[in-house]
Amino acid sequence: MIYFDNGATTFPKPRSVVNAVERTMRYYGANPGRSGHKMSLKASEIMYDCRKNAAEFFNADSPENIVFAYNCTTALNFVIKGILKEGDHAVISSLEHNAVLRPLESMKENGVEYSIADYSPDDEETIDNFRNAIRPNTKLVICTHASNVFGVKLPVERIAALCRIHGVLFCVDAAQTAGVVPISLKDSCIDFLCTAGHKGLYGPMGTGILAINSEILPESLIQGGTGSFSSDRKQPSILPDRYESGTPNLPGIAGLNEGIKFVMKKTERNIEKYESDLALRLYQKLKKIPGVLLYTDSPKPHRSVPVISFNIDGLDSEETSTILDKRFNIAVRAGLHCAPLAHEFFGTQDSGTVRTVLSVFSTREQVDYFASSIMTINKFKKELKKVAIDI
Amino acid sequence: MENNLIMFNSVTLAMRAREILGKNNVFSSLIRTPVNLRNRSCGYSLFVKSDFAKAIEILSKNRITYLGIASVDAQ
Repeated sequence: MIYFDNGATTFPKPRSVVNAVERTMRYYGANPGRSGHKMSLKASEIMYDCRKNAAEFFNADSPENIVFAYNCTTALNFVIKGILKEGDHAVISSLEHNAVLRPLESMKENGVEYSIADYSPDDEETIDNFRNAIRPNTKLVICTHASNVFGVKLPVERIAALCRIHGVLFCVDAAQTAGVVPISLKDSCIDFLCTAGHKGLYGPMGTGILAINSEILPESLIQGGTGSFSSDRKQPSILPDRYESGTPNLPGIAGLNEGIKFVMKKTERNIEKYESDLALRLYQKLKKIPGVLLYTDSPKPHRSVPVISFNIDGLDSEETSTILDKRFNIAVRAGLHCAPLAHEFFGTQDSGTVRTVLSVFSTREQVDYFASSIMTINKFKKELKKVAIDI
Repeated sequence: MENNLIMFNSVTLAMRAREILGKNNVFSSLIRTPVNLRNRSCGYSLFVKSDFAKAIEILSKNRITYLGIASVDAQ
């Protein structure tokens, strides 16, 4: 199968990731940070090594500033619900994922309000929209680094600087950019960086990271055993224990560690270049097919990540993806991609889009086969529509 | 008996301390804090066989906080 659904999770994973998960399950399956025996200490070392590599990767202050979460959504919830209190206001972009939108919507019941600042292809306009949305009681701005549907990047460094000027905390959702776009926390005004471990970092599912670059810390949402301060009934305030209660996903973190090392070895610049070249090739081929609807300009490394959304005129996005799967053995995602705001902005809320996201394992041959498959579907869409309906 | 143990609140901090000491050529071992020193907490410690004063100096210089120091029987 040709797998272009890397925006949901990357596949395949590097061999080193698979081996690390297996090795941990086989030989180091003790609970880290709890006991003093050799296997538990080895498990703790695996956790620490991943924390250290993640800190280096994101240029964070120290390994303690890396908090393991179960995915990007959990990390975002840690920040949103841990920072905002009754009477607070937040600002988000018009391209946010439900991982940001839904926690904020639920917090309306707790007296938290939020505003949406529109994305614009013109960065100046985007910055103005964020500036205008900030109120005296704005406590937190949350912004995706790049749209998970359309791939367009937001000027997060400039939004971060704007937030610093206004004394507002700034959180970035880097689910689609970590591992593809270099991020340096120490060189930025980003306070909180949330990301998945299983996408561009090539780790297993069930892994995510909250990287903290702020003296102001969110309240902990989950309290419990941390292996530290056990006689104290209160949750430890130190990092990372403050947010890491209960047994962690050690095999996942061992895999994530190898995934991060894999990306570090290849370098994000090279990955970005490779994937962007492929994305551009795909975009140009799709652009030549008369019935294909594209929603953004051609992908450019500094303006977007290798995510391309499209539709075939006369077919629902779900129909196109089903035909791709059944007839051409190609995996893509269709629909709203958990980001209704982004679809409202691009006018695709009714049709959804077919989303292709490439990875370092994608090839030119796959891109060419994909484009020729779309050409065939477009040509025979009336006949192929039945394929989508047949079970 | 001279001090040879540095106690920490978390395994993460203990491991970072061990790493920093290692980079400065001070060898240390990660162990569970001995029960008589644990104060009902379940912390981790670094056992530093030699260069203890240097170890403390390095940790202070790197702003690594620790719970306390003690001496334990190396056996």
